[in-house]
Amino acid sequence: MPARRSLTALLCIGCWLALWAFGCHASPAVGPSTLDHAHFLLTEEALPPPDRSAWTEVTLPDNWSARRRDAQGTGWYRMTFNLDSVPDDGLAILVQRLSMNGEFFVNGIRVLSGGRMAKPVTRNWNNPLFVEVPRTVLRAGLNVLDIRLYTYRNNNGGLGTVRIGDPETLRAKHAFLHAVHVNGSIFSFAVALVAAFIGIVAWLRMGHDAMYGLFGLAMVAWAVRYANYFIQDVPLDQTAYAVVVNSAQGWFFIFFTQFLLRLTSRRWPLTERTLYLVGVLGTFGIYAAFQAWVSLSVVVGIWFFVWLPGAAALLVISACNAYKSRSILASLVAITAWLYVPLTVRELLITTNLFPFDASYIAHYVGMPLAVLISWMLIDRVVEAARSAAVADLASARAAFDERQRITQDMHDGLGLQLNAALRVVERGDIDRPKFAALLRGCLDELRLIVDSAASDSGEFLPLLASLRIRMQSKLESIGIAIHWQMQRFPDGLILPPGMSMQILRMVQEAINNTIKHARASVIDFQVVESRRPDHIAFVVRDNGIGFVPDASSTGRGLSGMQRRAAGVGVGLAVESSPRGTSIQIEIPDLRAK
Amino acid sequence: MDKTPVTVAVVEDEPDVLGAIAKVIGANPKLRLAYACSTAMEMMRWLARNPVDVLLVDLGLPDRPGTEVITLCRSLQPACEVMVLSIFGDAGHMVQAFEAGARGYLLKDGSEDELAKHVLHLRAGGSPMSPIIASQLLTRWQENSRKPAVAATLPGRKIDALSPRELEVLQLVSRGCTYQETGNHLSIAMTTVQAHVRNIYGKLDVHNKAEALFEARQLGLLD
Repeated sequence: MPARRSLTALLCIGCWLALWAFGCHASPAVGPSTLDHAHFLLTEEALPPPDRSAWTEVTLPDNWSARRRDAQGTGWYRMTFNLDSVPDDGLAILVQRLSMNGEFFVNGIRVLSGGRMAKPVTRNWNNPLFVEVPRTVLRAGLNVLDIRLYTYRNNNGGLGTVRIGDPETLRAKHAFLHAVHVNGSIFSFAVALVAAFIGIVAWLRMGHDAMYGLFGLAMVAWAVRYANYFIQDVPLDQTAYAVVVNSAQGWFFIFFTQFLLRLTSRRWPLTERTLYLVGVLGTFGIYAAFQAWVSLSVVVGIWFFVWLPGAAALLVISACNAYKSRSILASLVAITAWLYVPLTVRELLITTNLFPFDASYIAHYVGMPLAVLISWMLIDRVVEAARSAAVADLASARAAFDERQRITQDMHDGLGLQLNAALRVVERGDIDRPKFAALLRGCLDELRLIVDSAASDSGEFLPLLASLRIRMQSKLESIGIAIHWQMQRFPDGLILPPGMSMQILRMVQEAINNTIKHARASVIDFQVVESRRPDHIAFVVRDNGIGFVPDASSTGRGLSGMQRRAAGVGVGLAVESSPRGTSIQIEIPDLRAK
Repeated sequence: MDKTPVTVAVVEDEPDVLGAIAKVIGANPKLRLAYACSTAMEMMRWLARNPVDVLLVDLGLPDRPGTEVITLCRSLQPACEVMVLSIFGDAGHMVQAFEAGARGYLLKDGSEDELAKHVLHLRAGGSPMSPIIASQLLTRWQENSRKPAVAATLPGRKIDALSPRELEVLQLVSRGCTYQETGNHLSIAMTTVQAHVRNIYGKLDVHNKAEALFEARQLGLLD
């Protein structure tokens, strides 16, 4: 195990480094040349401004959020490059990142427009711009490249490094960047929507358990974020849209952290409410930043209180879960989580200018496997719950069937015999009305025992005995017999086979009937006593009546019947009698699972 | 205590039992028989127009289940106490009846003489609970608190959380203690125990008033 663990760790670190390095890749190797110096002019003009305007020198990448925080609108960049001779297949220009939209002019002629340059501006912030400039526009010697840029305030607007070179190389580079930035995002957006759908279906199917709904919402937040990576035209107010997409990752953490907490059975209402509060505050903060009421750093500071606990929760919970359960699924989730968190933090750093402007947003390539794995896990749970319910249904159907069998048997043994006895009395013509009524009451008593036993789902013995006691209570009271119920020490959870329960209850019923008929008693005690046999639980039913002498009158008391019952189910029975009273002691095998 | 007799309505399909009940009520000055019938529809129609203090319902009626009558009565007349008549008082039917809103039961085993006592007792706030019902409720409560998500997907009603005191009462009753003995154990009055039992039944009563009234309109009982 240790060897496998360190190998896994090395693999993770390797992946992480590779992804980080890739994402960082901003400056090219030999081949096409990079323009990283330019002259800048802030002006609303639609055509390249004249040379004599007040150009300032800037380096590329030029991030407006860092360098001219309150500016919004159009700016121009002018750069020059030398060509020894005009190449036959023209020249290509590639800009990995500019925000929000731009137009390229070579030697005064517009060669590329990214779309609308007035509100609502086409969103090209994540779309690498590429153009092949025909040789007719180019000159031998000095050439001028102007880039007209439209930027939104506090939205990480600006111009990245500009690459020029031969079309073939740069075309390939552009295709690759486009695939990574745009096509990959479309795919991740689709996966996030599917995962959100799975979350919502699971929420419906698992009794509206909020945990699944939270996962669905977290995936919706991701879908919104990734939609922003490729959507170019938004039919919404730009500010509203920007607030929604810029807060999306924060809301992802808010929902996903709560999902993780509930997944590990932690309900922390205070934490949940705090997260929502910070989320609302942060969302409003983004709006305020767009209105230049507060600086972006303050807003990022607020969101820190969501990102930090969110990232920590993801790392810690995934790791603990993988360690505890040691399943492949849990390990994979942990690996993706530990790869995802540094990458998403890196993206936050890109927003705050602590990371290169040109860096690519690639955390979603790790995020999607995470979404898939967790969706898998949730589907597992839903299926398992359905399966358990089905198994439980089957088990209870089986139990119901067994129960019906037993009831039939019981009725035959107990009730059948009694009804037969009553019938014989009638057919003999021997209708002693009180005696006949007593026989029929005996049948009803027996039927009640059967019904009680059938009604008790668990088969626990004490409630059955208790039910008998409560039933007899008022009848005994009315003839002057009090019940002293001292069964506190009788253990909980003693479940007996139904046959055994029934026979014990019949014995107790018989004893009480005897007391009523013969004993002239005033009290019946029910008491737990020390058992004579090991691993048995004993109780006595005792009256303070006149007692009886065995032999002659014992047949009328059904003692031999009682002994037969007890022996038949393996229960101990001891009957004692004296002029001070009669007691029966019943010894029950302790069948509680040890 | 007010001197007006407690009005009682009875729906019972066995004529012998109905006769015996009517006789007992007639003989007791504290009770007055307001209405007696033998089908659910008749009683439901009557309840829509006539207030009554206590309703006795037989669960095994010929045309509609007795639980429907109970549910309707509870929504139309919340002040009316419902008591079910049953041969065995078996826990399954009893719990169903309590879920519908009944607060007491009477066994049809010839102890109709006790009926007056039980009805007045019910009116005064006493609700009986048998050890088996208590034991069943305890089991159900334990299952629900352990896995809420799964339990919610299984058939059968959910039971609201029980307070620690209510759990203690259930446990003692399921172990065979009378209300008096339960009160002695917990150092509370018997009437307090009764109140707890009523509360527990109240939590079972997932009665949906709007639903019941909708059903009643569908059956043409209200116009």
